[in-house]
This record gives sequence, structure tokens and C-alpha cells, in this order.
Amino acid sequence: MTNEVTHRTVETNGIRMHLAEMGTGPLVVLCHGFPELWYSWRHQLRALAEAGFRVVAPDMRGYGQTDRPEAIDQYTLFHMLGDMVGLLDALGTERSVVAGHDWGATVAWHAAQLRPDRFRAVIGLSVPFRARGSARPTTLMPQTDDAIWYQLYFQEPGVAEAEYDRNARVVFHAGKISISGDAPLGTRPFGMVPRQGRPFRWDAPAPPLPAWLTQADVDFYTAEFTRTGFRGGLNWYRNVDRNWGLLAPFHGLKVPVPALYIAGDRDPVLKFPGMDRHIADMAKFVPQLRDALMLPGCGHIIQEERAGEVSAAMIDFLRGLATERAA
Amino acid sequence: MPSEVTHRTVETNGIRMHLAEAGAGPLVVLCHGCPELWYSWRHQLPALAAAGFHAVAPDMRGYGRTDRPEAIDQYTLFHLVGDMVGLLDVLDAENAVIVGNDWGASVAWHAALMRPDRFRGVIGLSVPFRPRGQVRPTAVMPQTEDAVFYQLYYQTPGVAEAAFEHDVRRFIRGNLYSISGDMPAREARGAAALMVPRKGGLLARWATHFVKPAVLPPWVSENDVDFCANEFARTGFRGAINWYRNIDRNWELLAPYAGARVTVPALYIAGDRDPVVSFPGMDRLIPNLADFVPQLRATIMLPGCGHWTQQERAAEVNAAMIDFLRRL
Repeated sequence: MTNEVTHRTVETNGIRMHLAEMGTGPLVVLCHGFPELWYSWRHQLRALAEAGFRVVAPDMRGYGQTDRPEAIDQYTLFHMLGDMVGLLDALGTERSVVAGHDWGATVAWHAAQLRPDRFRAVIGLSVPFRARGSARPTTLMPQTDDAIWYQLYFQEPGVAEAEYDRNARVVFHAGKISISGDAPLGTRPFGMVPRQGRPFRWDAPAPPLPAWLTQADVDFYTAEFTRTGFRGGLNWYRNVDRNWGLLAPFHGLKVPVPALYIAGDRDPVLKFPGMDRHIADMAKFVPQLRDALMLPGCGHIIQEERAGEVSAAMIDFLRGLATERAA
Repeated sequence: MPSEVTHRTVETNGIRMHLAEAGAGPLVVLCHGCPELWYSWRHQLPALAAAGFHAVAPDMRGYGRTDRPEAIDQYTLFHLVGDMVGLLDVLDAENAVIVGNDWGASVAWHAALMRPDRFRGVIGLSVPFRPRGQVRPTAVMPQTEDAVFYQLYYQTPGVAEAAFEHDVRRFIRGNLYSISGDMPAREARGAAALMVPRKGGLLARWATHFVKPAVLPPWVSENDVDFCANEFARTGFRGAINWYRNIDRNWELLAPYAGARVTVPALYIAGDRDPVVSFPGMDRLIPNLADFVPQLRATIMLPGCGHWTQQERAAEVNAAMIDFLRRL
């Protein structure tokens, strides 16, 4: 077994994709979210490899050292799912477990939904499986006279880039802490962006780093996003309505494979409109949901905030799959 | 059991869809191709009803009395399959057998690929299931210095519409004849008939190739031509041709299904004089279809039949469909 994370680039679905990988054994693919990198899984790469799995964490389409196609319509959910199927092909592997966090969880849930023959189990962090709604998502997002939902703010190309690209270090220090379980009490709830004036308070004093986030971590993310910009990641949001249109064939389709859901009870995602219903409905659409774990005091940055607990829960679930097969 | 065809409009996947239907029993959905209408299934609706099935033939998205969204990207296979899933929901049917001819066959195969839980069997006429290729489809379509494959000619919005709409009745009538099994072999010209001159376009090709039959073959009447010509004169052809304008987009969006198989029971029927079975690659695909459709029950090649399978050979196609349906 290799005991270091190794890196390489493969070709999948017409793009070049950078992978971090470690270990040998049954394959587990780890899909990061916004705005993150393979690096978000640095603790799980090691833990799962040591537990006897082959772990592969790509920089997802639009991120890090993976290609960033120019056109917005190259960032639909179906492009991401195609990337993951192509990744299995590039790795010469028939089947894999797929895990994801945030947007990566949405990729993971749908990969298991559409291709249960290739994705034999799924682990979703933070974002539950969400059944397709009856209306175009942006029409349901909150807006008031003064402020709009952040995903609406992300829609106009160039606008959010101009803010994020200049302030990467704040995004990965104060921004990350503000949606974690270590967000100082009284932190403004994440979600609404003012229509007028400055969308984010980039100049607020940086809080001290919590134990789960080091200066080296902040430096790594900051350097990558300073190099690439945020446009690739933001483009995922610019396809939410397009995805909704394209998901019509899958209305009511269940995720038929064994599944695990883990979230932090201080994750702002759980307060998103409709999320309580999605979580309550999950067992209906994911009939093989083995467990829904709520980590007390944990926020959105779940696999970094609670690396040990998350890795342990993942390994427990993965080993359970092997036991079920043997039984 | 009523065997006359009734009509209604339902709402599915955000559009209003016109349905022709007959019979009661297990649901069979019939998807027409380009440029056609529910009317292409006029012989199957009563036959399937009499055999104990609920047969439903919609005007597909972009056609006839169904809505025609403006934007080209509203005509992907995902929209078309979404329409069919929504149709089952509206009809309160847990599942259905799905049947299609031409482009409708592509919808049917992909419906079965994407939703084997809702589409328990599939019958493809003319067009077999085509597994996703390695490259963008328009990149490998035939083109020469002088002419392009007709699907390339269809890509630019407005161009093919203008040619079709120049004389709708003449186009419908000539097209029905020209790719049928009744087109004399000496005039059919094989694959060359599928190429459109770069100079002059379709109207130039028709001047040299298009047949204006003096008398229609027995399987189609002047009244049938009138029905279709009247509908397309009213709607135009833009909705129909927009399906072709999503070929590359479909290919991209189908990346998650690379290597995936159609897993439900299936039947494939085609005429051996259908130009589709001579498309590039079909000679290798059709004999090996079971590699991609492992529950393929049969491949039926109808001698002397052309592209309009269920119209040219209504009785044979009905019998084969009913036999397949009864064995499910």
C-alpha cells in the first residue's frame, strides 16, 4: 500500500482531470463541493487508504488543476456525472462507492441514482438527496426588496467572481469559519446577499483559526483559487435551472443503492428553504439509507471540521457493504 | 371496449401535449418520428385497443397540436423523455411499454435506458438503440466538397424550415414516397440520397432526386397526405427540426450513460429498404444489437419495407407488436 497521497492527471469526458489518490482495495471516489478542492478530503484519503480502500479525490470540473471549460453550459450536473463515469473507465474500474460533500454530494446522489450499475453505494455529506421539485429552482429562491439568495447572486457571470477572486484569502479563512460549527455566536446567517452596497464584509477582522484549519490549509486553498479564479465553481450554480429541466426524466426515480448521510447540526445548508422536507423524505427516495448522522456542533465544513468522526463513519459504512455482500 | 380513437390534451413536463388514444388495459405509448404526427400510428391505435391495450399516441414536443417551445435547447432527449415520464404520471400509469419510430425510437430506447422502472418494455422501429459514441456526432457525419449529410444541413435554424415550408404538401407527399419501400431501386440512389448539396440545399436536391409520384402506393392515401400537410402548414417544421439541433448537446448530456445498456425486454423492427439501416455504422450495430440490449427478444427485418414501417406494413407490425406485448 502506498502511504502517501499521489497525484496524476487523467482524461475523462473530454477534459483533463487532476486526481489525488491513495491506497489499494475497493475504489471510493470523493467529490468535493464549492469552493473547494481535492484537498478538502486530505484527512479521508489517508484514513480510508489505511482502512484498506483505494481512495481517489479529483479536483472537480472547473477547479484546481482540472480543466475549466469556458462555456457555462459545460457545467451541468450531467457533465459532472459523465466526468465520474469516465473517471471509473479511466481507472479501469467497473464499480465504485461515490462520496460527496456540498455540490459534490449532489453529484454523488445522482451518480448512484442514474448508474447504480457503476456506483454501488453512496455517501452524502451536508446536502441530502433532493427529489426534483415542481418548479424551476431560481423561481423559488428567497428574495426581498433588500437582498437576494446567494445562488441568485451567483447567476450573473462576472459579478461574484469580481468579489471572490480578489478576496480568496478571506473566503478560506473568515468565510470558511463563518459557515462552520465554530462560527462565532451572532454570526449573520448565511444565505442572503444585499442588493445594494458590498455583498460581503471582506474587511471584518479575521477570527483566530480553529484546530481543524491551519494557516497552511488556508494558504493552499488561497494559492489555488488565486491562480484559477472562482468562475469554474460558480458556473455550477449557473446551471441550476438547466439541470432542473434536464432532470425531468428522473422524476420519482429512487437511489437504489446503500447510502449514508452525514451532516452537522450547525450547517447552514440544513436551514435552507425546503431542506427539512428533503431530509425527512430521504428514506422514501433512498430506501437503502443505512443511517443519517447529525454531528452536534458541526457546521458545513464537515469532513475537515470532524475529520476523525467522518472518516470513522465512512469506514464503518464501507465495511458494512462488504459484510452485506458476504452475508 | 371502445376502439374508436379519442383525443385530449394533457399537461406534461411544462408543456401541453395532444394525445390520440384508444382502448383500455396495460399502457402502450407510441412515439412518432420526423416529420410525423400521432397520425402515423392510426393503424396501431385500434389494433392494440382490440388486443386489450390502452394505446396512446401523442403529438410529440414541437409537433401538431402539442406545444412548440421557442428555444432550441428545449428539445433535448432529456426533455423528450421527461415528456414521456410526465405523460405516465398524468395517465396515472405506474409503467408502460414504449414504442417509437425514427426519432421516436430514440426517445423510446432512451426512456427505457433512463427509466427501466417506468418503461417495462421497448419496441424500436427503424432506428435501433445506438450506444453513445466516442465523438461528437456532427463531427463524424459525412460531408464532401459538394454536399453534406442531411442532419448537418438541418443544423442552421431557418434553412431547412424554408425548404420544407416552400410547398408543404409536395414535401410531405414526396418524402413519404421517396424513403418508402415503394421507391423504385433505380431512383433510390442509396446513401447519396441522404446528402444535401452545399449549393442550393434541399430544393436543389429535390430538383434532381425528389420523386413526385403520379399515384401513391396503397398504404397511404391522398387524404393521409392532406391530414399531415394541413397540420404542418399550420405549425411549420421548426419544432420538428429542432430535435436535430440537439444531437451534439444530447451526446454531451448522455456522458453519464456511456457504456450503459437497455435492460428491459425489447423488440426491433425495420424495413430492409429503410435508408436508416444503411446509415454509417448500422451494418455493424444492427447484427450486434443484443450486446447493448441484452433482453432483445427479436430483430425483425421486413423485406421490401422502407422507413415508414408501421404505415407501410401495418398488419405485420401490429402482429409483431401484439405478440411481443402478450409475452411480457
